[in-house]
Amino acid sequence: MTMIAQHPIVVAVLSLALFVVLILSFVILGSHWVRNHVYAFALQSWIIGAISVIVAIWGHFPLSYGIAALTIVVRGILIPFFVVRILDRTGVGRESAPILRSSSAVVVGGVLVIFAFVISEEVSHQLVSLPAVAVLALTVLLAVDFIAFLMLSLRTEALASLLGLLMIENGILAGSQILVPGMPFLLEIVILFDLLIIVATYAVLAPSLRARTGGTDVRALRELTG
Amino acid sequence: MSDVVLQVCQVLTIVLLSPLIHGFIVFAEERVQGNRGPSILQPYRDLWKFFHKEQLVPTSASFLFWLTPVVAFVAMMIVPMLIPVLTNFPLPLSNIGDILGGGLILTLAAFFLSLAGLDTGHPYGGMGSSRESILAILAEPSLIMVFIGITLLAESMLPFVVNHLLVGNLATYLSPAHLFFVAAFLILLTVETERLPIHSSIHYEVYMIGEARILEYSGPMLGLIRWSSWMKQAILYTIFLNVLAIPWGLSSTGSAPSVALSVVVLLGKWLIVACIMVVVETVQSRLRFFRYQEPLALALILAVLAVVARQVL
Repeated sequence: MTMIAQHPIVVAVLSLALFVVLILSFVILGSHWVRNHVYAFALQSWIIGAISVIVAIWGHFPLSYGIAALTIVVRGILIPFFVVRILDRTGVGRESAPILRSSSAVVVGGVLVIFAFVISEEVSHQLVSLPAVAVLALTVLLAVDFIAFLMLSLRTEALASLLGLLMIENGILAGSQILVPGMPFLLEIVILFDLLIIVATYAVLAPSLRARTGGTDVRALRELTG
Repeated sequence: MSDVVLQVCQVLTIVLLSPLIHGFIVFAEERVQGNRGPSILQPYRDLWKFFHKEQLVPTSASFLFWLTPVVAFVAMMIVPMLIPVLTNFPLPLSNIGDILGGGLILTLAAFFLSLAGLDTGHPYGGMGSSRESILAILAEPSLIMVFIGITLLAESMLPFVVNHLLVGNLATYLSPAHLFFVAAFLILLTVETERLPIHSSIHYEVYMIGEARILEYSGPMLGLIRWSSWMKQAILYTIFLNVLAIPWGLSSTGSAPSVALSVVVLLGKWLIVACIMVVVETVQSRLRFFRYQEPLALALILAVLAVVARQVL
């Protein structure tokens, strides 16, 4: 941790990568084209993979290479590939009836970023004194998760909910790579298993949703039992 | 050269060279679209034509109709005194206003244009004024966030201090905060110079946003207003380049050769922004007017992220 935090170039590269992760979550929040969400998610995963590689090199955590490889292969390639396949099959183009217009949603997202920043500042002030890049990591972690929650509550397209859940996991991984470097490898595998279950559930659910309600809009669902 | 001469040179650079950027952008856009396009010098010919025409005044116009072109033109001659156009040190009278002061003077000109649009009672004038006002109202928060951020970054609101900070400190120049400010300001630049995808390049009244305000003008008055809008574009590009994006290449001694060189460098920098603007205008087909919030919301987010980045790192 200290070794990573002290080298100025590493800090600069890491903070830039963290900001790109945050901006990509805004892309997901602001765009109504579901295909763009998937591409932004894939890019986000690649950047998180890059963060893991940097942490592995500078912190001498060999297992982080494994995390990076798993992140890029599973989150960066496999999940987007499967989701795009599902998209092609179900023919979902764009969010048809958003609750909030994309520009308003983006502004609310901005407020959430400030909120996340205030929380992490307070954490750093009152609990543990964190270095700047760790405060940034905590801010990005919280902000990405808040934005994902915002998306879960605003979007009614079932795929948007799926991507919201995936974004929560991405945010946690991005932040924890820097906050707790050398995170146990097992944890990452458990999280990935989670992700696969989310995608598999959607793959099973989407066709049955379409068969029953004629669309994948979760607002059309009125009951949980079959 | 004496400082007063330099200050006059700064103003003259903006006054005399601003039609050239506009001419270049129009020319480059036509070329990109596969047409021959007018000469780069066409704006100068247009000005010559305007100033040799008869002045017509609508019967419903009040004194505001006469006042507006003059206010707009004079305001655009004041702002170059406040910002680093050719030299990276303050010249006489450049301490009469900071970045906020310059923004205020630019807004004053826009305010008078909106009043003139309403003044004659022409229906399109009122529509143009209201459209332009809503854009200005929504661009303002982002602009203020950018100003706040720059003040935090340089701990000063003087453009010269910001320029020195960025030239002298490469780490600050490459910091995420500064890069986000550049991105946010670029979006605001497209809003202020009417180059967003919601602005139409076809001159139909229903598509017009700011331009509908000056439909009643003709002759020398129209020439003055056109010229002042080109100067506004040149001023905003200069602030963007010399204060934020490319702060290098200004004269630091004030000697005649170095000032001449800095004029050439400035023309080169304008060329870069002009090419960016041509790309922005060409790659995206025109969007309906009510999509205006999306780029402005993006600018606000970038400015907020920049301030957060400045506070964290």
